[in-house]
Amino acid sequence: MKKVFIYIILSLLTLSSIYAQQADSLFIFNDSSRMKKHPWRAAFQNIVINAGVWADNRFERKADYAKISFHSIHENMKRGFVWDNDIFSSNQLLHPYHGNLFYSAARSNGLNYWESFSYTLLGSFSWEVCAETTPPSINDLLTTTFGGAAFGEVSYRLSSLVLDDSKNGADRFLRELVGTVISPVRGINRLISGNAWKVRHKYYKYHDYEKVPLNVSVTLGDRYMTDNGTLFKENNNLYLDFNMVYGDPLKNETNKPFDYFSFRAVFNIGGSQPLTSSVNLIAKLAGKCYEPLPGHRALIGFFQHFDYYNSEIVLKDSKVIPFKLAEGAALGLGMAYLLPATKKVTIWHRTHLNAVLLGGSLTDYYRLGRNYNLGSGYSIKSNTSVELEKYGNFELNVFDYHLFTWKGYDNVDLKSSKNPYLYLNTQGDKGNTQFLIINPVMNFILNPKIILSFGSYYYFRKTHYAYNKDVFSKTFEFRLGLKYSFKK
Amino acid sequence: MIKQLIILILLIFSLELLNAQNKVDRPINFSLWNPVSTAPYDSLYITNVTLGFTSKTSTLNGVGVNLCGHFNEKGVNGLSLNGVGEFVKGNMNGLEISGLFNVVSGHMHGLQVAIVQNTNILHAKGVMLSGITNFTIGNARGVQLAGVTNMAGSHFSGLQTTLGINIASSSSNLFQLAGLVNICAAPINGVQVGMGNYASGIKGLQLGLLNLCGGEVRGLQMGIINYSEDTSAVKVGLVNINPKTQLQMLAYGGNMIQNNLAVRFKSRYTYTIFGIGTNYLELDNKSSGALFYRIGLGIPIKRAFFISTDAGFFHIENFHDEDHTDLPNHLYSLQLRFNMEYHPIRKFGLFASGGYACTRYYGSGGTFENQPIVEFGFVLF
Repeated sequence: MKKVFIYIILSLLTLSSIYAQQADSLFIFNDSSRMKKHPWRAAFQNIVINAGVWADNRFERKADYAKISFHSIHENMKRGFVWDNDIFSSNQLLHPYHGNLFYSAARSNGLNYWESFSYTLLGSFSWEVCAETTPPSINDLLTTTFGGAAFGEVSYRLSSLVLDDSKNGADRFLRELVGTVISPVRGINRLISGNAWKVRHKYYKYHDYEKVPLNVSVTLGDRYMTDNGTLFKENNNLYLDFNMVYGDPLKNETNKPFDYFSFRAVFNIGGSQPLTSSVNLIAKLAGKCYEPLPGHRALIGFFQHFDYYNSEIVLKDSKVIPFKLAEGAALGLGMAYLLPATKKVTIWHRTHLNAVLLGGSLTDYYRLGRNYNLGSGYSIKSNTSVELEKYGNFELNVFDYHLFTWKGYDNVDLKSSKNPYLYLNTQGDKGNTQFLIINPVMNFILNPKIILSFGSYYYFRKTHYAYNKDVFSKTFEFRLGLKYSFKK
Repeated sequence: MIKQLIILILLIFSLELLNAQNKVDRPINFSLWNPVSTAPYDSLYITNVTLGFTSKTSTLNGVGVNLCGHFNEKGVNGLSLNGVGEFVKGNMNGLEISGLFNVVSGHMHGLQVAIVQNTNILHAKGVMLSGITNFTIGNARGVQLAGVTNMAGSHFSGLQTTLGINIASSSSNLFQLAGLVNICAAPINGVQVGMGNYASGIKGLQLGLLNLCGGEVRGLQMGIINYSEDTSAVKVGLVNINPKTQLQMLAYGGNMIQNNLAVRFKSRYTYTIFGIGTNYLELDNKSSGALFYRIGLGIPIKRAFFISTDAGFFHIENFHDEDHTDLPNHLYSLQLRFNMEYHPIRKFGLFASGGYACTRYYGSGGTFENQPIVEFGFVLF
């Protein structure tokens, strides 16, 4: 009897260890053979990316600035970095996307966030100095590096959600295709390595939903944007809002960079507004969770931020662009706090205090191919969310940005200046901009997955100009839409 | 004798040591960054004045002025001014003013002022004034005044005032006054005044556009829409809802307003209706509409019939009157109706209404027209 009893216990112990191994063997990131780093391959791919983009500029677009030589590289190094005048969306959104390619090359070759960040910096630096005849740009270097790392890590993790090496056939093809669209360099690397079609029955999963849960929502609705704050002078257009909360902020065991982030992108469909209305990212780089009192849970950490808000004139005869604001390179301290949950109510509060290394904001005066100032400063963000179990939730977001434009010129015709590069080397109109967004949102549960969402946005901008008259502007908008939400 | 002498010497030494532990060794501290200061941090020191860029003290009884911040280990009694922030690991008694934030791990008695956030982890008593957020984690008593959010993580007694949102997560004796929303996740004894109010139970008053109560109401809900899970709650509002309230949709046409869509909140004998309609036929204009509210009484007769009467207020808007400049842009109408409703099945019914409408101009109060009403439609749900 005793023998039988011991046998049963041993069997149970063996079974549990087998199950544990099986659970581990599901995930790619537990496979030691797949954790190998390929730094030289990543560096080579960065060179190939730069060469590819340069070749497109040089031979397809026949751009003058792509006619590089050793002389142009030497000149660029001698001249040093300046501020450039590309349009808002190029500088604040497309450059980060370019940086995302450098980052993904490193990340998909086994390097971690910080290692890949340095590759993004080097990739951007080499592009600025070597791949264009125009002077290297300090703002491009910053947004490409910081924004690129942010976009790169998000796209890398998003592509991991769809990849599954146990699948084959059409399902596998579709997964690889979507993964490649989300993270192109990773997709190409998978093709080169053969991982794109290799079927595995061990180590085939790329994302562990139990460790890193996912909450995604997509909202489609109407955006009612007023012209200069006048209620009945408006533009109506469809909007699509993609919102994702990745990971659990209150888990100490998932503490790598971007194990927790919130990402949001809003697109306009039709109407007078640009296609990409806003992109927002808040990602944890490092942090620690606390329980200050029983039932209270808090995360205090170091976060990376990326924000992009773009608008154009609301009506054809409008005189004012409502706003343009970006923080491409921003880092800061943050707190996420969950009050003790009751059966009916869940309350979150988040506060962030950031240093903005580089940002951009709309200007009322400066015109040299761009209508925004570059600058640095700080931002403060507050989010309070109250979820009422049966009814829905109420959320209040308050974002305050304060950007200082340090380098600007007074009454100088910049283009006709004796210094041929002076016009390229200014942040804009000297002064500072304070931009405040107040955003209350109400969500009403219609059924467990469909939510009626109503939000209003109030925008206030106060710009002080050192050499021009100060400007204060405000406007607002409403958004009403149906939200489809799912958690995994 | 020698023994007695040794004991005496030892006693004197012990007394000296005790005194050394309590004495103010470095009353004034000039600090750039601890330990680059005249009195580097020592857990035994009591400091009376600390001045500098950043400083770290064990106990501060007096005044601290720091361009950047101040870290205190055991407690602050007095006044502390900081350009960026202050972190007090012990208790804080007095006045604490910081450019961005204040954090007190122990007990806070006094006044806190910060632009971004005041955070108190244990018991707090006093006034918290913040541009963005006041946050008490432990029990608290006093006043929270914030630009955006006041949060009480445990029991709170006192006043919360903000332009944004007030939150109390535990049972509280509280007056909440908010520009947007008041939330009490547990039963509240007191008053909530805001655009939206929620409490899981209320002994007092909710005053706002939308009032929600997840439990018992001992007091009054006053607003446009009042909801409580307590069917006996006293509510004063345009729409009063409880779990027994039936939500129905009405679609109908009539001789006065052509097409109408409405929501009816129906209790056993009373109901309210909110709806929209287009077009108001007398305006002879395809772009006119009406927004209306009706309140009435009804009696079910057997299972399938329901007769009712109601009074209503209609706001009528003439949207694009470019060709008919003599027509008014806005009108209002007071209407009385008698309705008969027949439900062949439970979730579908047909109804006919008859009544009379007095339509008048805003401002001058003159009559635009008086006319009888005839309407037919159906009820869903």
